Amino acid sequence: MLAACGPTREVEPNDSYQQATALGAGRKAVGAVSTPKDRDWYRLDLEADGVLSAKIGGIRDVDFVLAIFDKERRELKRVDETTVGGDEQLLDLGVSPGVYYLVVSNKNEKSANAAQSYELVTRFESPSGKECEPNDSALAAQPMEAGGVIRGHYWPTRNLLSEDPEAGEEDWFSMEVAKPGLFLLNIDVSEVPKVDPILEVYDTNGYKLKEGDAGGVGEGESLRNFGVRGPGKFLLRLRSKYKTAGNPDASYDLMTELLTYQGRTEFEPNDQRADATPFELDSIQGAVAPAGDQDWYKVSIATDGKFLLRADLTGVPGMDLVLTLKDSLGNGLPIADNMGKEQPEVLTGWGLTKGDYHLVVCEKSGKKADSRAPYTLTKKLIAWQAGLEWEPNDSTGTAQSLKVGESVDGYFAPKGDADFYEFNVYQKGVVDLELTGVINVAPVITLFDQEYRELASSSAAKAGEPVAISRDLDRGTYAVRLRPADPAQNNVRDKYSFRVRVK
Amino acid sequence: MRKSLLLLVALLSACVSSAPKSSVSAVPPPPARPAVQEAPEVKDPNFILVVSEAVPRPDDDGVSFTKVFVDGKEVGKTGVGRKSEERILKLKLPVGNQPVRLEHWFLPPVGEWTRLADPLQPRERFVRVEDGTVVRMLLRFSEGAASNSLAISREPSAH
Repeated sequence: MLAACGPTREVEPNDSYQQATALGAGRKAVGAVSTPKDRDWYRLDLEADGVLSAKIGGIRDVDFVLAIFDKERRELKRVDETTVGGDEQLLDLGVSPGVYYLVVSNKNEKSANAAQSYELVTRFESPSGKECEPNDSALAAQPMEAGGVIRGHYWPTRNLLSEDPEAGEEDWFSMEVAKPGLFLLNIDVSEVPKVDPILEVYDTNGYKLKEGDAGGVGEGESLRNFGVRGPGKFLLRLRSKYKTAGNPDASYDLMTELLTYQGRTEFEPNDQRADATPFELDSIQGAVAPAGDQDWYKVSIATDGKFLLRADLTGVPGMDLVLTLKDSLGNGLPIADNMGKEQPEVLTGWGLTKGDYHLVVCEKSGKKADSRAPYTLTKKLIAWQAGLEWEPNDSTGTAQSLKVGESVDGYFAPKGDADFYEFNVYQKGVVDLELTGVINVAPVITLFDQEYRELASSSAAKAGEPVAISRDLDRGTYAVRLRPADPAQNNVRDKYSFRVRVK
Repeated sequence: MRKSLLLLVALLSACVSSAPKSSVSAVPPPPARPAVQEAPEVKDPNFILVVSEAVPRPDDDGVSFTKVFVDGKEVGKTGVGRKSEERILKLKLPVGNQPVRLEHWFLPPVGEWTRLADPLQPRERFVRVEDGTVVRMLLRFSEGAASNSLAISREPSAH
């Protein structure tokens, strides 16, 4: 009766599975290392699914190794994290009804401490919401439900059963999305002291789709808006960045959330042209994570005609975002990088026609990431009409045609912008070129003849002031260049108005 | 033999013209796909127009040509050719500063020859034509003729 309440004492000889001492799950065993080569086998007869953990307290002179075998004596897990006198812990072993063997052995060939007893403590818990080792490879990935939480450990630090002696511990989980359709998966891994986690997503072919490594030691990790096409299956791999770092005392929580995709957020991975998220609504949200992340959005124009695209990108704390427009092949068009850290970026009125284009958002340094701080990208596509600037008009080859008597409204943006206009004079006369003032810009007008020789130039006295040129011109074609005196000057908010008149 | 053939043609045409007209108008046959044509050669040209187009997809590689107007009057047109091929027109223009307007036409997959919409046409501009030089005007369409760029260069005449 008393024996049933106290610890199980090992029954020597218990050096093989046939001689194993019976141990109840959740019970404690007491034993001794009688010789340096002594191996103590304990047999556990389990009647239910569960998660088994075991801890052996260190004793003088002994360097413990703790291992667990299944009924076929296949070794499932081995821990050897400490040296002589250290504890060993085996955590989160997923078990089902049947026989398992816990084996205690010693690595110190010179140990001589047969008199001191060790204590082997086991714990048996419900498997619900728990990591189930061994889940160290894609093949052994533990199934998990989208929308659930799994609690596990970065422990042990090394995978001693791997063929690679340098192999670190890693936990694999598989997730199946049964419903057809597009979904967004958000994954969060809680922080664990001493561990810098890396979270990766793989497809069933073993291709890595995404990696999250934004946090540092003792910080969590997040992947947001990861696009999933259902039905489908993919794998999550969680590991410590540094192979010697682990923590048996603090667990991680792996949380997932599966949402139906509604076109309001990016659909990761959208890191390249081929994976661009369709941008069909007026605005879309995304996040720069991990560091170096590029978010591609596809803007499609299905109808013939000329359109002007305006795009606004909100600022994000601690980041200097850059917005780029690219054509259907991914070739760069303009770059909006007018503003600094935490400030919005605006792409003003770029001329587009029928076809596919891409808006690309990235962080300027390529070193910052924050999945919890989303940006909002807004687009406006309006039909172009006479009187509006048509970018690109940055060179004489793409100069925008203007008739004498007409005016045009445009922007000095992005930084370094120069706008060329061309007009014809059919009868000799005095022509006035008038440009209104724009806040933050001191504009310069330069007039060229049809051979692009400079005829006249005039600058505003200071930023915000208008500028004009009046000149007697012969019959011919003339080009005008408008640009800020300082290329760094720009204004994405206010349009200038430029007019050509003949007296 | 030749006389009898002519007589047969005349009889047939008389039959056609005197035949009662149907109340339902006949559907016109689709326009014949024009073969690639070369523009006629001009001796000692002083103006060369080179037209090229970037075609997004092989399916879009239809045919097109470009007319040239000087001071509002048509003075020539390039040969009809595949969009992806360079089309060249050589002209002898009067010396002086001439307003040159280009007008681009294309044959859609279905339908007849269509003039490119006004906002997409190249801008009119003056070109100075001088003795002893040849003006080369390069017109390049991109994005399926949705945008174009115009460049002018001058080279000494070979004659």
